[in-house]
Amino acid sequence: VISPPPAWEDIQGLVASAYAHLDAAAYVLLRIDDARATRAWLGKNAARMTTAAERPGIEELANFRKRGTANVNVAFSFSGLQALLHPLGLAECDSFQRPFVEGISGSEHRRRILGDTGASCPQGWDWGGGNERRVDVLLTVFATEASAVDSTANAILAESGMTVVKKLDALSRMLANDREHFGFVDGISQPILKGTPAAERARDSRHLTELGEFVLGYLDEEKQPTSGPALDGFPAFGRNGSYLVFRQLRQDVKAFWDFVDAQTRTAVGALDSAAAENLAEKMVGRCRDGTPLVPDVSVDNNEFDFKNDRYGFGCPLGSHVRRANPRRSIALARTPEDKPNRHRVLRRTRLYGRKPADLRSDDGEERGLLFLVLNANIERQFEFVNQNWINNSGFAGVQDERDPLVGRRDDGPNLFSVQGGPARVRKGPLEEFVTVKGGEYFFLPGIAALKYLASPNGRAS
Amino acid sequence: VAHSVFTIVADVKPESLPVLERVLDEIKRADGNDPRLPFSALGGLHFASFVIFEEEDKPPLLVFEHVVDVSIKAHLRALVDRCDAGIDAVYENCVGYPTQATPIEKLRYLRKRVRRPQLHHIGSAYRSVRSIKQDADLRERMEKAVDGLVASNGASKALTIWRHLQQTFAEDAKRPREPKLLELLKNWSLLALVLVAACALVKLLWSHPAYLFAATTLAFTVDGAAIGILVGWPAKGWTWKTALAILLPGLAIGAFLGVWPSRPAAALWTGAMVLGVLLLAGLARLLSATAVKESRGNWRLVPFVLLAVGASWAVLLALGAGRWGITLWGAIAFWSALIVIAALAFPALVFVSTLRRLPFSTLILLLAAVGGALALAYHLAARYWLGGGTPWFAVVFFVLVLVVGAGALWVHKLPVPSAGNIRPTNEHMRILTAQEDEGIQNHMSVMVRLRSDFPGRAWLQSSYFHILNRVLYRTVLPDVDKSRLFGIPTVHFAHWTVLEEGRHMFLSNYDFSWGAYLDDFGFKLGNGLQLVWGQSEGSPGTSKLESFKAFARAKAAPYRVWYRAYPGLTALQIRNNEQLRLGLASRANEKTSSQLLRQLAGLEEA
Repeated sequence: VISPPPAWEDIQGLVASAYAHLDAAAYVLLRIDDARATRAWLGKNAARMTTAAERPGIEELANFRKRGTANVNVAFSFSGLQALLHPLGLAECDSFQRPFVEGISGSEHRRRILGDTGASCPQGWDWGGGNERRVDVLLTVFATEASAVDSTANAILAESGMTVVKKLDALSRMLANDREHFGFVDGISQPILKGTPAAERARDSRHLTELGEFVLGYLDEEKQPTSGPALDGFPAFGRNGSYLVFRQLRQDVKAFWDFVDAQTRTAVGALDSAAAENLAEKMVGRCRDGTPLVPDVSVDNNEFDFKNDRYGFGCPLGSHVRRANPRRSIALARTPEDKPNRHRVLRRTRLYGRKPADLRSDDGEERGLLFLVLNANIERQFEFVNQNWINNSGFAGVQDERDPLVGRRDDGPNLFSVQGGPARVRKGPLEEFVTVKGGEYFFLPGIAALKYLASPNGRAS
Repeated sequence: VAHSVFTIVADVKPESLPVLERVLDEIKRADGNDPRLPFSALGGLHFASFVIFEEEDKPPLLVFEHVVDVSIKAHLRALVDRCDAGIDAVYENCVGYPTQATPIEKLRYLRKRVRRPQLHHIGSAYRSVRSIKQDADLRERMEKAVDGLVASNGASKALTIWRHLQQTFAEDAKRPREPKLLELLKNWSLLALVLVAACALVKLLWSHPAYLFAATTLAFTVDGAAIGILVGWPAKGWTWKTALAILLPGLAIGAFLGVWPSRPAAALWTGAMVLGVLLLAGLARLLSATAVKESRGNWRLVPFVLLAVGASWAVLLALGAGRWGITLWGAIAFWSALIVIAALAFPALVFVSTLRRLPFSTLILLLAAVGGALALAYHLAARYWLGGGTPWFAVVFFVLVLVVGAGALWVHKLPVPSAGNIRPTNEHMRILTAQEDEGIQNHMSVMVRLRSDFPGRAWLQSSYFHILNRVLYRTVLPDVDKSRLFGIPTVHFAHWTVLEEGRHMFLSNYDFSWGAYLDDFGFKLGNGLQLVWGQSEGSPGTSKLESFKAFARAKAAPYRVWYRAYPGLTALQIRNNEQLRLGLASRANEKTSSQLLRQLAGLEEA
């Protein structure tokens, strides 16, 4: 069975590119006030959305920078689609994935498996996940500089029939220096889409993943076609669309470094900065510059697995990197047949808030990650990773531990074990270094589907 | 320690359902300590649950699940003695419960409704609740001790740490191992008996070729047909492929076994014809083959298979009064036949399911190599011990037929019954997931209805479950595969029960998420799942895992009450903890003690 050739011109650009060449970005969260006006706005702007066909090749990057084009994409939460497609039939609703229909905070169970409890509880969010914090539309704008982002956003959103719930400005990548706020290089591991030029360059990569894992209408890793939502008036509504997960994650940089400092003080209570650095790297699972902690890594810092580090003496079993992508190594279930790439997500994450001048002092500013991922099956991909790996207290045989960076904390011991000879060292209790400040599930439709949303036949107008 | 796994199944009076639901809800909220039904006070109770299955135009079914490490009789008595009020409160809402009855009458009521599973898996074999809890407590104390030792920088060698632990926990190390000899004998005796009987039959019929022919042909054909019915062949009507797949191996093996001793030439001709057909079928299949899933093999069972072959040979040798050739011949025939049966009948058998996933060419090569080795062995035996006389190529030919036959059958894809697209409603999913992932363990309860197109289906299903249970689940899984369910280490207790009126119930107490559990099953045991669930109404087959998952979700019911004795422990941790305790009593060196200390930090199992 062969996957159909990708219709890049119908796929929104965010799928194919993180727009790494564009330093500035803003994520505008919107609420629909006047569905009719929003439909008209969509009709005018659907063609304005950047498609994956416009993805720049490496050689074109320099030109792209100069041109200063702003790239824009748009996604809808379920309430957003309901507003535009009113009334939505039962069968139509059911054709969307359940997590999307219920919303990111739609059930107690979902909050449990995602770790949205305690300080991350949706009641405390700034946006998303509830009636009064409802978000219908997500507009992403990328440009070379912040002023271009703002002017583009303002120009596009004129007469849209929507009000801005929140506008999240991403930190310019140049300033961020490719390191997230804790001080580690981030975003190294990404799936490589089959059928793209990148896949041609990395033919043997373990990260090669079928397009159908991220875009609906193509074959997934099991060679099964992924089917998308179908509307009565437009059965192929889901084709070339993707489910988008967006979360605002606040990072408490001082708490993180205070924790590693406190845990590594010498017997007389003196600071041991080398040991602190080491513990921080063990928790993350990579060095600050991104070098993997597993022994015998070849030139490429992402083509490794944990075969040479079965017991976690290099990269701890419960470290963030190992939990987020175990690369076939988990003992959770001894299933070599389970293809690891069935649980991958495309990461399009950026930072917000200023870089901290000093990792160990509290400047009172809020900062963190604008965590944005794309997948074709929220339950099997984004939620699976959180449920079975990040927040699994028995992951790889460890006991009472969850992800040391982003895992859920509860009234248990909240430990982190650093494996090594002669015996493991247990650290804890861990604090909540990362808290959720907002989030929602969105659907990123194909261009044809966007146009349909602008004039859905047979709907009340 | 022997486990009893069973359910009490009762019809609920429809008008009393709301009352029953309220009672169960109260018991649930008391978290095992309801004074009417104090689960925690019942000795040896690992897991217990109440599930209500509701079907249209049937009274609701109340299922009370028990996993205990005492006998059913003793457990029921304890239930009536200590949970009198609870039993009354629950069962007075059920049909036929004698109110104001004596304990004896109540006991009789319960006993009459006890249903034992035909097939059950025990993840912590031979382990009692008490000992599992003691081990967990011991591990906790050991962890703390190690924390202290590491913090004080007192030890740089694993052996030093371990010796210290051995001293500190010397009392715990003295705890006796749980007795398991009786249970072992009970589990393995039936399998041994079957093997001996099969060998004896071959020996007995050896001198009566016609009977041998008839018996083997019949046996294999019936077996093939039974499997066909189980996986749902009649659903699509009988195709020539189906008929061939059932008839050919029967004929082939029957012809050889039956005709060979008296008329080798005739056997050759029969074989040649069968071989030709099989070759063509296999070739056609090969040419149209889609990519076969690649996977690493599980070779740990090979020594055991070899051991079994050797043992049966020894039995045959004894029966054959020292005639090596005859016994070898019998052993080859028997074990080749068993492989074919396995290919047909038990795709879930670990060894075979591994082979099933190999690429077709590797499979054929492998089988040919095994066949060739056997043929060579026979040739040598015939030549040196029987004084020659057997044409060796005939033996090779015989083996080849088996090889190609098995190969052709292996690639004969199990047909998927035309399925209704059964999916759970969002409301149903909300109810199910609301009670999931509260801790690390989860509970699953599913009931399906067997298709009624074939009158003997329920009987056939439960017979096969019985056989599977005896030759596999009660022997190989606990003792050979370290209590893993075909390599899946996350299942505490799972059981399959065929009830009256074609109801088929599955209950499982497992670790981690439902999705990961089903993925494990789907990826490891696709064919086994097809065998178990393929015959149920509306089953979409297992080739499309996501459709199968939707089907399983739709057929699942939420639990009303679920008691677990050790909620924080995974099956893997239970085994690790036992290893640690046994390690305390062992003579340690640097290597074994660092291995044991690794187990503290969360050993990743090989």
